[in-house]
Amino acid sequence: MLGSIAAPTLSSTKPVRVLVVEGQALFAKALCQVLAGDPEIDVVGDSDSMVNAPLRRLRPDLIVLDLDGHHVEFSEAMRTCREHAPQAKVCVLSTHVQPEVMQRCLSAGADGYVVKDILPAELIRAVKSIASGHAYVDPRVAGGVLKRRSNGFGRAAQNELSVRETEIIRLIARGMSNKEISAKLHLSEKTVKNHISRIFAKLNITARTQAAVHAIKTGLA
Amino acid sequence: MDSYVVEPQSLFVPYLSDVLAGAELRVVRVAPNLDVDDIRATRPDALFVDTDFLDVDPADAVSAMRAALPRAFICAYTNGEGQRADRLRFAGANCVLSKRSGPREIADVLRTARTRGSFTDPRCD
Repeated sequence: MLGSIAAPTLSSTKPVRVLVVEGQALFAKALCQVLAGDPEIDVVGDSDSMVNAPLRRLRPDLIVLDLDGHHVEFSEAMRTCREHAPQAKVCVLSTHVQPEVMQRCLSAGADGYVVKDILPAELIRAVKSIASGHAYVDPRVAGGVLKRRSNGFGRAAQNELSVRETEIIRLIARGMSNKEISAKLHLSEKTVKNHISRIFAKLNITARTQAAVHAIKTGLA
Repeated sequence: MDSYVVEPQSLFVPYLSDVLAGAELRVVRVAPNLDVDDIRATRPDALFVDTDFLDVDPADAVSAMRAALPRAFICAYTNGEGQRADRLRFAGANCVLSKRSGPREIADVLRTARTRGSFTDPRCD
């Protein structure tokens, strides 16, 4: 389900146990303060990363995960979460309004996607919606997805980068040469070149700098 | 000190404003991105800029702020380390502050930086 949900009601009277995973210490405190202001939410802790979070001990019902403040790959954070807190729903917080960033998060298993200029009351609504089993996506970003679909269903999937291509574009954005990328990923330089050609074709670009800009703008780097 | 904050994470702004108030920085205006004309028109004593979400190069942004307000106190708030932090300092930031800082640390650092004239968070080195 895309878009915002009206007046979520929680089936249980128990407060939702929320863990905040946020790399910016100050923003973590701000989030905890906003969420703790609601009597139906129990903030059980905060952590600077999913790896450092005591997930098994805290047993959160829902994790608010900041996409921006982490050096760890998002899918890796999701894997850690699924391994140690399989019951927890995940609400991603991000500054990115690009639909492709949101789609990547949802594909990796997130249950919601919220942009950081959201109002505190709307964030609480999002958390409750997700906790009660609904998906929640910022309506502005969801609108972008629907627009892309209406412009040609299926075309987006063809142009979507594969996992390997995503890895490579991320390394390009870090300024690595083909040789360095091939060494890091244990691939031949020719294979790396082939991947890069496919990336260029999919993104309709012609230069590495354009690829780097795309990676940064879409939150890949 | 009247302060101008550049911060797109608006959810975070009320809390940040309280923390800045603890360092005697009174937030008079908040913008989601760099707007040099607006900064010039507001003429704050201090600028607090989250450099990680700008549409332009962070060092260029600080440099533009410094050119617009040569005597203002500029604090660059960043996840950057090493060269990225150095560039912010060389561009004219009085204070380079790590995002790993907690609220009390931020207030202390801002007070120190204002007294000394400059401060770089060791975690940004």
